[in-house]
Parts: sequence; structure tokens; C-alpha cells
Amino acid sequence: MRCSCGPCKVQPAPLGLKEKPSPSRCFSLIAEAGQRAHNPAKPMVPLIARILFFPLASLALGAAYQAVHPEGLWTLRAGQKAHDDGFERVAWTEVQPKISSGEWLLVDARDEDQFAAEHIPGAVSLPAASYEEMLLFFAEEHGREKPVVIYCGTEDCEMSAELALRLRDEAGLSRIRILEGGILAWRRTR
Amino acid sequence: MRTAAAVFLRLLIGGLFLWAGLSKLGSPLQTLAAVYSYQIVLPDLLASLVAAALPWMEILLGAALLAGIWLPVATGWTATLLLFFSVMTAQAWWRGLPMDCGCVDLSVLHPALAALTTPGGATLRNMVLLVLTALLAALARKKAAA
Repeated sequence: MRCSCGPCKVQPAPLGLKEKPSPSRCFSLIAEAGQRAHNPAKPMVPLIARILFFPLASLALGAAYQAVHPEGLWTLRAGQKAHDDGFERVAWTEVQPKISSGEWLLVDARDEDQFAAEHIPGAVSLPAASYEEMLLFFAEEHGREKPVVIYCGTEDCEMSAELALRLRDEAGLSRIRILEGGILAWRRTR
Repeated sequence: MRTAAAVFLRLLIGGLFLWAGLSKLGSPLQTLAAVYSYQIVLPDLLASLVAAALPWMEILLGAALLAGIWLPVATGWTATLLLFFSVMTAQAWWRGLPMDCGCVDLSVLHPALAALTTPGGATLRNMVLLVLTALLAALARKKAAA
């Protein structure tokens, strides 16, 4: 019996066969090819792997990205845990050299009277209750990318976080930190 | 017609997800602040993991939808995320939390769309996107069965 079916007309190599198949093998090849045509090929990646890919890859990429990002979440050191507002708290020992070099800008969030009475040298006054126009003027003057460190009067004062939120949401500043301990942290080092 | 509708939905939802994910990459701390602003009880480590992984989840899903690969799985995860977002924004809306949803800011397209970043607006937007994702999943399923 002479084989005249499709698979036998082509060269054996494309089918992965070393030599021309026998007639019976030829028909079984046709049957397999037909089955493959009617039943879509099994996916190369199993369903469970495709389902798990998205969360696992996201976690891996997220962890790696945060590790290399200069302000990534993993850079929050012990004692600088993110507060409910998400702003990083920094110690005075870290702030001082950055202020001296002009790399960071120190902002006093207290009232103007309190600022006039006493403030950390080099700080600029921007009360937390300032009008939005003042915040926008501040952003225009210093730039929205300039890292700022905000402080207020005590360990637990809320004006720093209030001003930080307003500067971020209303004026578009993106690199905001809060001085841990407020002005008290500076006083302790005097 | 169905194919055109599916492509349109893929581009719309995928584009929004990609945009949302990329916009979160620049400021990890702001993303973390947005997670906290929903005021749900969440350990710090878990909140950080969510803030770290969420932008990449959105990017990967957006890319998959745009490219049209692994559509059943991608639409499934997209719908799951949108359902989660809807619940989160709805509870913030119900509790009257004065918050920004932390989602993509559509006001750059039109100022009136700024309303879609409030808890109420974001809930509405998420639910509309959820319906559109379900429609996309159905269209993709029909196409695969055809």
C-alpha cells in the first residue's frame, strides 16, 4: 500500500521523523494532526501558573523597585516607621547636615508668633493654616522637587503632618519629610 | 463588531491600569499614604507590601490587557482588583473620610473629572470599570469559543 496522505508527502524532517513513516503510522499521524486541529493545543503555561504570575511577579518587582528607589519604602529605617499619614520621620542628626549643605529645606509649621519667638536656624516659616495661595507661592519659589523637612512644637504636634498633607495635595510637593520630635529634637542638641 | 468592542475595552481598561500603575511609581510614600488614608486596620508590613506591589500589579495587568495575552486570567484579576477598590472606596465614602482615593487623576484630561478621585466618584468609576471588565471577559470567552 502506497502512502499518499499529507504527512507523508512532506519531508520526514519537519515531522521530526528520521525516515518516511509506514502507511499505518501515516494514518495515525493524520489522526493526531486532526485532533490537534479540533482541540486547541495545550497552553504552554499552565493555568495555575498564569494565575499566580500576576501577584507573585508584582510582589517581586515591587520589592526590588522599593529597594533601589531612593525614597523606597524599605529605606524607612528602624524608628522611622511610616505613620498613618505616610510621611517619613527623620531624626535631627540626619536633618542637620542636609540643612547645612542646603540640600533640604527646613520648614516651621507653627504660627508666625511662635516662629518669631524661637525657631531652628535656617528654617523658613510657613504656618500650617496658611492660605492655599501661600502654599502655591512657596512651591513656586522653592520648587516642587526640593526635599523639605517640616517641624512643629512638640513630639505629638499635628501641624507638621497637616502642613505636609496640604503641601502635597494642594501645592504638589513630592519630597516631604517630618522632623521627629519637632523643635524639641533640636533643643536637646543645643 | 464584537472584536472591535473587545479591542476598545482592552485599550480603555488596560490603558487606565497602566497609567494608574506608572503614576504611583514616582512616589512610594504617597502610595503608602493613600493606603493608610482608607483607615482600615492593617499592619505596617502589610500596608507596605500593598503599596509596593499594587503599582506593579496594575502595570502587569494593564500590559497584559493592552497586548491581549492571557486575557481570561488578566480580566479575572482586573475584576478582582476593581471589586476590592470598589469596596475600599465605598467604605471610605460611607464613613465620610476626607481622603483622596490615591487612584489615577483624570482631571488632567478634563477638570470636571477631578470628581472621580473623591470616594464617591471613585466608587462609581470602579463599578463602571468592573462592569466593562466583565463585558470584556464575556467577549473574550465568546471569541475563544468561536
